[in-house]
Amino acid sequence: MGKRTGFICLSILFLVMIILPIQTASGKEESSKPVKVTIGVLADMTGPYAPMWPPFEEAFKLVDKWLEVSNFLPGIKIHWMILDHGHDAGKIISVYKQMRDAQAALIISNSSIDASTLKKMLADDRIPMISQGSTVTLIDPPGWVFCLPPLYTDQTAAFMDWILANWKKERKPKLAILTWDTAAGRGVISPDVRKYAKIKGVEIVGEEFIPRAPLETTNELIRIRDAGTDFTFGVLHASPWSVVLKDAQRLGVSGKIKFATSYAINLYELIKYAGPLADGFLSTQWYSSIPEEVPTKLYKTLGVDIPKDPLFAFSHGLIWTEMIVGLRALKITLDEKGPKAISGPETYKSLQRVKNEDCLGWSTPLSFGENKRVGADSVIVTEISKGGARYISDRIKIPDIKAAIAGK
Amino acid sequence: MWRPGGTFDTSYRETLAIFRTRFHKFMLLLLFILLLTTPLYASQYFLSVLSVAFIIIIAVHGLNILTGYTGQISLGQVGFMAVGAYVSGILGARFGLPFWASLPCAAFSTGVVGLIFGLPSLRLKGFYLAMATLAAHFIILWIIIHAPEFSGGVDGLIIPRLQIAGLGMTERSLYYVNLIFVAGMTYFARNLARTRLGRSFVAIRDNDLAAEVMGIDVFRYKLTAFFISAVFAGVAGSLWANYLGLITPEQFPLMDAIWFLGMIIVGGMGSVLGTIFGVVLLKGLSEVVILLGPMLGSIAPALGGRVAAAMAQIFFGVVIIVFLIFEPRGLAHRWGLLKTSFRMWPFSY
Amino acid sequence: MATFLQMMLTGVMVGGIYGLMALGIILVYKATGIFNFAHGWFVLIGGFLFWAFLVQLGLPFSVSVLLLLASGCLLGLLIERLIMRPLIGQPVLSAIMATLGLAQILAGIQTLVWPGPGRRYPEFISSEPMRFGDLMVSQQHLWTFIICLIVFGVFIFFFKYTLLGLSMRATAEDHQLAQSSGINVKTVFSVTWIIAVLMTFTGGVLLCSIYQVSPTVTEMGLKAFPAVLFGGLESVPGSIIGGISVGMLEGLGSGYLDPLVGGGMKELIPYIILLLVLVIIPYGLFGQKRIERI
Repeated sequence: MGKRTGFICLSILFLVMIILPIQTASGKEESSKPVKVTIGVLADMTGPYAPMWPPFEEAFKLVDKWLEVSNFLPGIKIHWMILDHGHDAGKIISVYKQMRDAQAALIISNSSIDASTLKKMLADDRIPMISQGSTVTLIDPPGWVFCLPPLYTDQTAAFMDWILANWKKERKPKLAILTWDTAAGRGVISPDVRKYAKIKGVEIVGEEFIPRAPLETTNELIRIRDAGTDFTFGVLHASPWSVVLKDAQRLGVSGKIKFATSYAINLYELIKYAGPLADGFLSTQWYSSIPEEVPTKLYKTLGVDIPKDPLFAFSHGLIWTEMIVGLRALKITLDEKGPKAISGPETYKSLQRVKNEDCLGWSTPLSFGENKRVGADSVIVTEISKGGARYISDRIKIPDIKAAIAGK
Repeated sequence: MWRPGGTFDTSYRETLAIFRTRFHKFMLLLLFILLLTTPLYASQYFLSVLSVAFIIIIAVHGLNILTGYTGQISLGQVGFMAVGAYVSGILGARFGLPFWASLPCAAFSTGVVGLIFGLPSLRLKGFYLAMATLAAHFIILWIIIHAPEFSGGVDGLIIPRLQIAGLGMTERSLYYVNLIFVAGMTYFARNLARTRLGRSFVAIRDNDLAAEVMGIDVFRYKLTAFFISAVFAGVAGSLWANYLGLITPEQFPLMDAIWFLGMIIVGGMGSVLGTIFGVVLLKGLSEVVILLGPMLGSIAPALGGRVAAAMAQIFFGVVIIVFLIFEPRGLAHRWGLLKTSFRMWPFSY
Repeated sequence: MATFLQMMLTGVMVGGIYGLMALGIILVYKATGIFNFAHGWFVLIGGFLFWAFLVQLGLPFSVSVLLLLASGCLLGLLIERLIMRPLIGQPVLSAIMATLGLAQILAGIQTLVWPGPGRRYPEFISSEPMRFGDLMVSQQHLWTFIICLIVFGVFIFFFKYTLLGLSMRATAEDHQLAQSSGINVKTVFSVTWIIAVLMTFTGGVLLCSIYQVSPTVTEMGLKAFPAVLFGGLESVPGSIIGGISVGMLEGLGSGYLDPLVGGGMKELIPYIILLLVLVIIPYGLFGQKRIERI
């Protein structure tokens, strides 16, 4: 190929790149029955959270099927805009703007970075977002992002409450923070949590941050062991956990320390990787992420078999809860104002009226309010034993940390 | 600095001029008018793509000055952007400074940070320097994460946006703000090339030993290059913080710094036009790739969204490689050849 | 004292893997002047390919190893032929950018062929720890380290004593001279890439056996960079020393400094030390010195 041909190809490519965005930019309006409502789904299919995507994709299809079968939103056809952003801030913005131009009534987010990147834009464009993860900046000041799970700090506090409720010894229980050195991981501890621990009588003996992809965690475990820890709490995914558990066995702390994590881990994945080392592992859950607690009737009504791989519950549960909350809000608008009224601002108002939603049996009751942007109010402590997992506590209400610190 | 054959200057003024022909000035004016009127017919999506592209262009201009003109390979540009964004954000959020004040402060402090991390350039060359700047990136992000009282740590920082006469900002007005800055910074960068400072940079890149012998204080000018390039990054970071309203450390990954380097390579190192081409090409390509995904998905619904996204990613890599094989000197080089061939028609070869 | 030794020991063993990956980068750089940015993704593909052979296709262990080596040769050959050869003679930064494009392609292939959550190899190294007095050593770490040393030994033998190794060293010095002495430089390039890919695949499999087979390993690949520069970009023995030093520093640094600064030191320490070392010894511990006075 000579220089000229090469140049022509390049210039065609260049022109394509300039024209294409302009072409696809204009949102199209369809006025036909049934009314089309667009829901935008921000997906990470090629970035660091890509491994989690395929079961999510399955779950979205199941939700779509359920909508048909149950006729939950009569007169409405949901148009799903599922777009990949690869965890890159620039792409997140582009992809979101496409959804906005398509007049999306609701955006579903599956990773923390998109919610925080878009918070201001959502408020400007008046489109609400439901997010799987919660951080302080997302919910305070209350904006257009609705987070389902409790804040990580709140889960730490709830876990402390559970420890104290079941603690029999004279001395104070010793808790160590053993968590990931990432945004989510560092979210479990804060000055308020430390104060709460002091007030309630839990001794925090150490804070260890495991790097993103650890090959060994000797130092961290040695320090925890030497401090005489009873429980640990943190956020860590199954893979680094298996490295930690192996090192724990090697260093001889396996039986003595109870490791715990917040909901963000797929317990069955941990069972798969760590086997018997995972027994006794604790976790605070706000939805049914283990197959033992999945509402199996739901799958039967859809005529779908329960997936054989027990890992499904974690991912399917997240999508089902997000979607049912969102669809419930759409239904509120639909029932009161009719299908044509569904829009971003209307969905925003309706979301605030969602109360005690248990998502067809998938989660603990979720409620929002005028200034309340966190859905879950309680967690349940789950334990792994003998290759399975089960609930070992009732619903533990999330304590109001600020009130506890101020009041006492 | 490209000169087509057959052009002669008859005065010193002409040699220095940025706009060398009336045609050149006219075309530039046309482009500017085009950009100004874009919000009238383009969608929000397109405007946002352009806004982000403008911000990236500013940052990459900085990198071009450092790497293209002065020959110091730097992977720290994204880290410096983060400094700019966070300083401007902290000044705005915690101390209540308005945007017009926080931007210059952020730019200046980023420059100083750049200067500090540029100190190793005295001793290090080539990839060793690149690694030192890589270290700079990690250190900067580590500091941001570990100072939550100032920076909001990993949760991020909420920043009040620029207000003009009490009016809030919409996508359109933000576009204009970004446009003004990119025009200004591009002019500044282009101007830099023809000053004494700019020529010293080029001299250092071409042969630093000879430059030192000729009397250019290499150390001082290298540090100045780092300073200026970091100032660009600081401005870009500030604009980014203003545009988004909420910054988190996750928005500044290392891969972006490597892509910036890629943009100036693909566009043509050492030329202001080159960085614009490079950014437009790579950002445009990634947009095309995003749009391609659902299109592939709708053609063959059996392929899930994931397959389409993966194919799109492969496509991206292939286009880059194909591009580099055909034009390793960058798009600006090709553009120069194109202009020459038009001028010399019908004798172009 | 025991804790100190424990930290150091684990660090050293982990460093072996870094060293192996560093060697892959250094080889390519030495021979062709290209710094391979796609490194982390080679690690990824290597890990996944081995998983595919061992678990997906269910082939026996030795067959999988052979197939992995074969595919490594194939990949190295393809890369050199299709991507690097057209870029010979062009500015070296363009070739480096091409490795970036290659990284995207490999990432896309991985998302396409092996989507979903991370995988595990069936354990071929037992995870029972061994005791040496007060020190507990994980068998996985130990065997990994031993394999790395063996690979290094084999490679250094090859490099120093065989004819092909000699040609590689000659080409690394000066392409023109080597070509004039009758060495086919293009073949040497191919061989270099093949060996680099093989090394990286081995490192990748070892890494994935400790951690898991998932896209996160590309970040671990990034750890090889400080190891490379520590030892010096042109030095083969430097790569293993660099790798082990980085591993050791990680272990000791996070051991002693983490409690003081609230964690995160493990990732940062190699870079800080690198910065300090480079300022004192600008070409890494064993790199080629360029004598200049500026």
